[in-house]
Amino acid sequence: MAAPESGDGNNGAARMVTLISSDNTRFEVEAAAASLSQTLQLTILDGGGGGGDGIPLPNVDSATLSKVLEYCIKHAPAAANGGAPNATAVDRAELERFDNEFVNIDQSVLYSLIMAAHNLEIEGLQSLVAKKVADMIKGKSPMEIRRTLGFPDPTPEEQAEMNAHMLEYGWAYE
Amino acid sequence: MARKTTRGDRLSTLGDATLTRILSHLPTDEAVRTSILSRRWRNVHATVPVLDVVDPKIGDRDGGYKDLPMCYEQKVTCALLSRDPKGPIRVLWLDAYHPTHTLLAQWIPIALRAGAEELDVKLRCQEASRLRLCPFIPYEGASADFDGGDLGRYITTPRNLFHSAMLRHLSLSRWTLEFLKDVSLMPLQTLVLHRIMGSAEALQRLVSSCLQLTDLRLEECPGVKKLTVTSASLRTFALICCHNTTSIKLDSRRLRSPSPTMQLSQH
Repeated sequence: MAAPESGDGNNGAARMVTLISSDNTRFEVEAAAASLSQTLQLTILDGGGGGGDGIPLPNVDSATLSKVLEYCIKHAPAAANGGAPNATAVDRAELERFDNEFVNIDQSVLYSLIMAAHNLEIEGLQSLVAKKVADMIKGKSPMEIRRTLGFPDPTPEEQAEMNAHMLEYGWAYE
Repeated sequence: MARKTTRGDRLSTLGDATLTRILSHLPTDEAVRTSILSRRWRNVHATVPVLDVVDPKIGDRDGGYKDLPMCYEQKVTCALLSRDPKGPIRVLWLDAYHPTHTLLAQWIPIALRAGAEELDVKLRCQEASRLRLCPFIPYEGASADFDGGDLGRYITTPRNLFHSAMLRHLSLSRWTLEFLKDVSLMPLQTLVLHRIMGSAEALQRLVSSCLQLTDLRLEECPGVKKLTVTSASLRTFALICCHNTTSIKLDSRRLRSPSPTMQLSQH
């Protein structure tokens, strides 16, 4: 038999699906990895994405999709056995190392990932990127946050509004 | 005035759900502070389902923070009041030094009514008991038990804490646990008890009432003597510095999981 047995024991060989990015690049991945996306899961369960068809993703470009799939492929085995229960400490540490490395990226890539994770509804990735943005904000003053996130400098009018607001929420500035 | 689109503007184009998710990873005061960034961010904090407030005080009653213009109790209460009252609270994390217990007894039911699934309330206070309740630490007077003078010093858990159809994770540190006749914590999966003053019966009653428990951790609870854990779903069990323990029984006939991970550490 040519096809290798897959570990999950569902259908023998791992089923593959094709995803097509907004710039028409085709990505072939295991259905189990693509199914981390709640959005794709139903289509895949219905048998979509196989053979010559592909699932078009008009909101995700190829650079972002390739990054998203890197995450899905890494996390698919752990997700298959229901998350943590059977994972060893070594497996978990390895995933954590991967995650930390994974979000060590340029802000513009990070924002594209946030949107893709949201559109594709990939729970773990949504949390991971949200936490990364939160870490960029943590411990900073409002002006530092504005600069970190790339807001333009406030106009005098905005500055006045900010000062008034700071008084109103004084308790949060102690 | 025309402005070029900047990265900050790009983040601001994300939906409320995404921004709320980002702010869920911040301590509450920091999340609230983002409301100053722009009009887009003004009300995002109000629907963040996490309340996370840590008291900076340590040591004596004023903890060197006599000059703090805002006390911890005010801060938590403001955090609760600045929320959208219709928004759920999923997570309540408090770390408080000598909090006013009448307020504490209000915050917890507010969170539970708002749908709290995770509750982690660490209390700290001035106490004569050793930093670690362990007879084997190399200090004079090392003991497995609380110092007699501290008995009754910890705040008693509010009764309504033990009636929730939503709560899945409960972690308590430095509380007094009374014997409770009725506990209904059906969905509770994780229970962490650290430095709890309570009788063997009170602790047993609480543990026996959590039938779905997957993870149980008991640390420095001198009240633990003989304990039977009957949850069929137990995955991990840790017993750390509970030196009065004479027997632990895991009712393994009912265990569905292969075998729970045990950590017994008595040092």
